Amino acid sequence: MKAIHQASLLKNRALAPQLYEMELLAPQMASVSKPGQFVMVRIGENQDPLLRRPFGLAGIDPESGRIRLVYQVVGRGTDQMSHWRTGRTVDVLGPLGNGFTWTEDPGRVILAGGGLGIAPLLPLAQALRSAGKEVTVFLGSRTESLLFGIPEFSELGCELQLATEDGSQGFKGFLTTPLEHFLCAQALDAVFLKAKEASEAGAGHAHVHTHAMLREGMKETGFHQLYACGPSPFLKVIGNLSSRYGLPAQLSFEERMACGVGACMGCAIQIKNPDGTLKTSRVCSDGPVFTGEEVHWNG
Amino acid sequence: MADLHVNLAGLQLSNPVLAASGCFGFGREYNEFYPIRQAGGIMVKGLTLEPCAGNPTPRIAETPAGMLNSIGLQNPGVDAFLSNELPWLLSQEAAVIANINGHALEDFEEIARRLQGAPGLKAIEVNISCPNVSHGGMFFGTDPAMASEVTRRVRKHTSLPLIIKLSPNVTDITEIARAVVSEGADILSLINTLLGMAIDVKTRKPLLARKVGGLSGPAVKPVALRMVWQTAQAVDVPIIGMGGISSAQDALEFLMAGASAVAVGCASFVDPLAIPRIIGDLNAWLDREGFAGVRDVVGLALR
Repeated sequence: MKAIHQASLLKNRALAPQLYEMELLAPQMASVSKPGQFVMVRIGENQDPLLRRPFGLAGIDPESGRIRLVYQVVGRGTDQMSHWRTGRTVDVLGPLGNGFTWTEDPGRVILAGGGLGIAPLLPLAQALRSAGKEVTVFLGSRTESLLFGIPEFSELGCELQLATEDGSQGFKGFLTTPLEHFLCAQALDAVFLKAKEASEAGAGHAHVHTHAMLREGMKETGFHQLYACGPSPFLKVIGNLSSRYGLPAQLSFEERMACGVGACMGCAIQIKNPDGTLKTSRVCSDGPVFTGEEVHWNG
Repeated sequence: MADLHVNLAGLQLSNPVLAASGCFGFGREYNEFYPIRQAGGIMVKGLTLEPCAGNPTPRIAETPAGMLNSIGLQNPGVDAFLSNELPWLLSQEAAVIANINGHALEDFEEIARRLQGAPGLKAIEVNISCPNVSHGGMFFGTDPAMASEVTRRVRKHTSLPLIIKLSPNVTDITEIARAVVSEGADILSLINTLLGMAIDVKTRKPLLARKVGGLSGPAVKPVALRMVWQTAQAVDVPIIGMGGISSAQDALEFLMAGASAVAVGCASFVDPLAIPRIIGDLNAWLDREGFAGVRDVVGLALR
């Protein structure tokens, strides 16, 4: 049985103008939640604002029974949330959705978070580091103050690369640019290394650089999975990079939702069946995580 | 314990609180919160002859005390309903009402034909009021002659209790009500959503991909209640009232306005336990006020 939790608000503070973090005591939920899952928070005690708001879990701590949310004030609901005082009871539905998956073995992975899409990557990085993986994290936002999680990722021992649209921190532009440079450099290094070895063994000279070779090179790097969360146009670019470099991607989508449990069909996404036909899936209950291969990009 | 049983023109239900079509899928999601047989009945997601992918996103926009949707009847089609969803619903002992939709008159007939004789199905609700599709939909429910024609054609093919779901997007809802009752509608359900829109000032564009959508939620309740009250005085068939019901008090208002049963829609999104909560509170209210059965409050405000 799914349940609605009455969680106690432990912390609700501004990280930056319009950016907040919230910690809730919800032991039962914290004990079953997985990275990539989300919750629906009820805002109004009465009927306005009416709908619950979805938030990816930015922290899951089964030991202390806490969950953490990071949110930006963008409308009536999040504005009301930002005024909530500690000690208040918060009506939370969840955990919802499928979450990310990983294998419990070492290896190299890349995480890419755009804007609030950084949030679900925090518990994911923790799980991946516990599994012994080498984690490279790309974070991007509009401006420096909206970048969050940097100390947490560093403390976990993740490699970090930053980008802001206004250039106030790290690369100036979208984070997909440094990500692409990184993938290309990694793959080329592997390609050149292989070519050098081949040439030293007297097997002829280096080949022409093609996408097939980049994909071959990518395999040699040890990177085996790309995880991303953020706005849909950003995920589309990540999806393209994933297929160009042959690096499987798990993409976590954001979409407007009403129910959060799969009943209203509001958060539709087009997914490719194995036979190439399309089906309409639900971001909330079939996702929010889909593989780069299965998503059908409109336009 | 008050008696919650209701009998709507032969449609026997254990209590008068139903799940409204389009807000409850095929019951599977809410069965993870409570046994869905607790609902008086389940009006399933609107069915079309062929599977339907629905509209582009965004399909949802919140409005003051309400929401706009433009789902566009995404559903697996009537055949998948019969082979996958209905047997599962019946295994949960749910009282199932099929909601049917068409782009053309023939679609309604064909779906009714396929549903005829489906074991366990309690009733058919004909949606002549969907505002979110380009062909058919609300078009059938805003013209009395067309509404009559749909009713007449479906009536030919079904022996089940026939519910016609009315659109509020008309000048006089009683005119449509009379027209469909004269062609054999056993029960009326009202209201479907009100056509509305919302614009994002930042992007200068409508919030919904399809620009306009159906408004539901507490914001529409006074309109829905007024239409139930008017319709109850215009026709002699039972009414299933809906539109913004989220508490037992809301349900009682509809019952007193002349509805014999009610349906809960968007309240389940906000509170997944809305239906069992309303049933429990309704029961408690009836006991407290000394009513032996829920039937005794129907139409009290009409006298």
